[in-house]
Amino acid sequence: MSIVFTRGQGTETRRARGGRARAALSPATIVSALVLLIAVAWALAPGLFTHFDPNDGGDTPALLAPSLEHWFGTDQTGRDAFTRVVYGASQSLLAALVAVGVGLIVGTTIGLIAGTRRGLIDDVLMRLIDVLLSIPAILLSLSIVVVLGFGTINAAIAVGVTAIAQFARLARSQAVQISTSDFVAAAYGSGGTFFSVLARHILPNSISPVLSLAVLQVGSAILQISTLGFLGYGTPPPTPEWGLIIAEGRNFVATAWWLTVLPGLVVMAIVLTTHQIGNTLRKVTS
Amino acid sequence: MTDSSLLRIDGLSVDYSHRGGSAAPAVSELDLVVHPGSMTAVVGESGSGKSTTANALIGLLPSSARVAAGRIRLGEVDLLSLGTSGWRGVRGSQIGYVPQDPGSSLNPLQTVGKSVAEALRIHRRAGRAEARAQVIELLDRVGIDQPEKRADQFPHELSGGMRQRVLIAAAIALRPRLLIADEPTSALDVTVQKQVLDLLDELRAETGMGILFITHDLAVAGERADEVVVMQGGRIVESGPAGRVFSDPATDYTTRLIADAPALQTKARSVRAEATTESTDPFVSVESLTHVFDRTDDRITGIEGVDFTVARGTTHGLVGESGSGKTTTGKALTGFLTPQSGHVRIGDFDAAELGRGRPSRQRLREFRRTVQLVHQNPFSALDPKHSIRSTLTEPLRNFRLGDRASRPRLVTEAMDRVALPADFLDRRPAELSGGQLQRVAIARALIVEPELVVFDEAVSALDVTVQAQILTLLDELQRELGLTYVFITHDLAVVRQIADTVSVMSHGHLVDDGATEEIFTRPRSAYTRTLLEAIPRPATLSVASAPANNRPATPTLLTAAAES
Amino acid sequence: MILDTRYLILRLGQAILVLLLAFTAAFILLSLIPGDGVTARFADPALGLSNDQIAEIREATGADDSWWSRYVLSLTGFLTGDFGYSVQTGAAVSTIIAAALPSTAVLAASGFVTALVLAVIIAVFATFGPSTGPTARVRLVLDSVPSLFISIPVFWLGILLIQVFSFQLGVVSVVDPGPAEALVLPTLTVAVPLSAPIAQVLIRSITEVQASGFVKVTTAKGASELWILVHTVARNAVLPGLTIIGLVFGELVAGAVVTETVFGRNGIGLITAQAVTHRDNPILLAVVVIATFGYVIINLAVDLLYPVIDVRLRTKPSSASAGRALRIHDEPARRALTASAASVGVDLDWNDETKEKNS
Repeated sequence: MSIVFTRGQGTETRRARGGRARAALSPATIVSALVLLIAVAWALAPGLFTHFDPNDGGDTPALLAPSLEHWFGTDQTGRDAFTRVVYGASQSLLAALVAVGVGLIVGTTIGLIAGTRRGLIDDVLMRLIDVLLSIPAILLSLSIVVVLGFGTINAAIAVGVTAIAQFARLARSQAVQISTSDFVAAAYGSGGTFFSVLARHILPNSISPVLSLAVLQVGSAILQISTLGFLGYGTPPPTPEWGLIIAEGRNFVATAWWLTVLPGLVVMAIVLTTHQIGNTLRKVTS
Repeated sequence: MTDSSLLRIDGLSVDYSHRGGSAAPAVSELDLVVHPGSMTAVVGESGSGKSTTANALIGLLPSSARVAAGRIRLGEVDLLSLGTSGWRGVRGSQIGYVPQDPGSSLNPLQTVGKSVAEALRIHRRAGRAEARAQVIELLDRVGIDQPEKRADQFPHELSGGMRQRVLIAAAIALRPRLLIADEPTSALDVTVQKQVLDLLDELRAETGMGILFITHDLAVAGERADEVVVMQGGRIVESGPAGRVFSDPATDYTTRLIADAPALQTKARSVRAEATTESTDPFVSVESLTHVFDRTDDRITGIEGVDFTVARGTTHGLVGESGSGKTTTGKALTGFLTPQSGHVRIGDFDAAELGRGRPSRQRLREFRRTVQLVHQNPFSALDPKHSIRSTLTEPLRNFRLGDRASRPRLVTEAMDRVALPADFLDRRPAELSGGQLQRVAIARALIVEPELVVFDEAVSALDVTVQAQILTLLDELQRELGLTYVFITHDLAVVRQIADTVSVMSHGHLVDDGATEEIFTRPRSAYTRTLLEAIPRPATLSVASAPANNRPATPTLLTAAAES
Repeated sequence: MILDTRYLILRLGQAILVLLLAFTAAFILLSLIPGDGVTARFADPALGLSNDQIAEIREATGADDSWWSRYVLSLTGFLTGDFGYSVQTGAAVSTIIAAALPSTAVLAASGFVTALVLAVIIAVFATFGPSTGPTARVRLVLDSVPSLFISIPVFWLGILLIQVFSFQLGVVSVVDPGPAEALVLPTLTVAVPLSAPIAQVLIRSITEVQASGFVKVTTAKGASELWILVHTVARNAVLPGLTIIGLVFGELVAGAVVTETVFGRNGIGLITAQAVTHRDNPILLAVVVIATFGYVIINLAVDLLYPVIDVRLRTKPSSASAGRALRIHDEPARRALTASAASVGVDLDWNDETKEKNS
């Protein structure tokens, strides 16, 4: 009775792909990728970027202002501040990866089980996630740090636990959404069993938003870990860690601004780049 | 030249500029006239530029679009020379706009009365109390019962047809001279569509306003419009008085559109003698199938007491409007829903029992192989992450059909069967068109050699020309493979083309059942009659029984209904 | 009646359950796992307590009871406002918290309001005006402000503000500021990062509403952009904003802890930080439970407020079947997820909603 034309969806999709490719290559993303690459290189091979010792200032004068020799100046014991930031990358990035790893693995597993099994298991798991979510993140991570003891990895685990809830909820919603889709019904119709459909269709299709969230979470994990470090519950001194570096510089806030401002800018820039890349990934994959 | 026109568009061209700089013209050199009190219909598929034209007329083109050339005159006003505030003066008061989707076009947090009063308030034509009185008058005018009560209700409390009336009331509040209706009935059921179209006809007769009617539906255009403009790829393919365009199309494109449109279809399905003879032992037998989700007053959501049978090798059409329960029936047939009561016998299976007891895995597997479902939306029915080859191989592996060596051949054969080239096998769904995807979905269903295939609105999302091709393909496959089909659709015309027997459903109940031609020529229930009457039919076609032109005479649904 | 009583009871019960579970989790973490806090604290020979005295303390604090009776004791204590005693100072935790709460409440309130104002300003200017020409640049810049704000380490921002306004410009005195003056910089420190997720969600929801069919229809009636913002967009866009307001409570707490540490303001945050340093678990336990209580209450209020603003959620008596009540019950979680996902830039759509209902 009605004469219906199709939408030219095939071409639209192709066009959208072109658009996504462009989004992936925008100048902001390229700059972000470069910054992040440098940060990773700092963490892997700090010696390539600086020839100073991060923990021993030797006979260098203390609290030197930034110069060509000492880009970020020197701290109260004459250590090169830039060197400490470079060496701090390994602690901070490692901790961030551990934190996101904990959240991603535990959270996604919980979410997928809840979303595909449904029923009682779903209800119980999701109420537990509600509990996890209702305790403010900082208090949860502080409580865990108190139990586990201070240190880089312990702080990372504490931060990771706070991320579980987000991953679990996202993974569950994805699993629910995908498992009610037509193509999953069709897969069952094609003789698929629960596990074959889960492995072939549900998992591959629900995982990409979860991974984008993981990249976005790297940034906030860096922030939370540096906060714990700043409060003195993370990496013990004298090992450089970004939060700790800023905490130490804080005592000289009136006389040596560079000891806080410049490391803080580095942290901010790196968090910003992970956000940019996470958002780009999300646009490309969705 | 004396100009009696209300709206006149001369040589309008609209470009979309992309960041790359290359401008693809969305509309080029469009000429169009709307006279007071008459309706001009712009017909075309999406991408034809019809919506861009409508947006240009109310100055709501997206920022990436640019009017490259042309003039739009509303009476004496040159619309394209208007600035922001000039446009604000014209919109609402001179030009009314009725949108496509009544579901999303009303502010959900505002009473419909306020929505109708909006134009009055914006143009400061009425105070609060005065506006209220006018709103009630307007709601009454567009045929809404209890206007005082309705004015205080929110959009989600009204039905789709009612919302569209509200939107019309809002659009005509300031008595504009021109009404732009952008696909105003596409989202509505056919019986509601008729009521809304009747209302528009009355309003223009009464107020003398001109209507520019944008539609993809050739039949609606033919039935209601005075002038028809057929667009394709941003250009006018053909334009002229509706009667002339339909009775004597000047271009191949229009001819093909008319030929492929099911509503304007000339031939009914060739009756198969052996199929329609009453089979003593039907292949599919549905008995008092009941599954009620919700019951309010006398209406139910779900299905209740549905019975029908389908003989082996025939096609059964299951027709109904939205909410009739046809999809629920389809789910029960394919074993994706365990009904609360009743039987669904297919061969020696009972789909209703499969879900209730604990059937052996083997039994369920056999059932799934016997009965296959083809979904409505081909874009969501195929996993975007898998290649076509992988999608088609999956059922073979699951059902252990063929072996590693023979499967590639089976897959190629399946592609061949649905007339798709084998080099599509390594593509992903995103790289195929809707029609091609639906062919893949059909190939996936047929590759396991089922006996019954259930199609859930399987051609509704497709272009008319593609729709015609798929229907022909299905017919051939049925003959070739001896398949039994159950064809679920809202589209009576499609059913007439493909089905041997038909069940008509309404609000969860089966209201009519029988051989297709019988239902069409002698509908038993009042509901079926209403459905048939609501089908739009171009005026010229309904009188085409007189062989005035050289096209084959067209016994349309009107004549079918008239015979009853 | 706007609210379904059944929904109200369900939601209330859920809140109580979550609180109880959160208390249990915190109790296990902070009271059971660390084991014998009394011995660790009082057996120190430097305190010079005799064994009898220690035994007396053990008796008084119930350190030797079974975990179950300690749990019940602690739970009843919390229900009656008795949070136990600080391990470090021996003072009642309730007294310590009561002394610190007002200053933190003031900081939280002023920080939150400032963040809200900031977020609304950013969101409106990032979405208002023509999308071409010079205003487009302004919009683009403002659009990226939230992701900048969200990347700022809170503690660093506090130090930076002290540096600029106190040491460089000398606008705000560090030595002996008045109460209002002392509040300015901490408020900003809390507000700037807090405004980011709110602004992000508002920008997204305003953009979504602007693209919706009913805004186009209103424009076609001749409405100006300002008219639409005030009459049409605002109310629709506020809904997701409401959800995020409930969710940022956690960030508010984090902001308070860090800000009070940086500025040396006496408050719950400072107490918490000190409690962690000294492993003063009873204080930490009390803070965790009180903060969780705050979170649960605020989100409960948001959920109950929702149907008041969103008329679509007001239940219709005719269709209040069991299935429907359960779905509504699921609704807040759904909204919360969408909003929190949006605040970190993840898109979720709920197209499956109708499908789920039918299957």
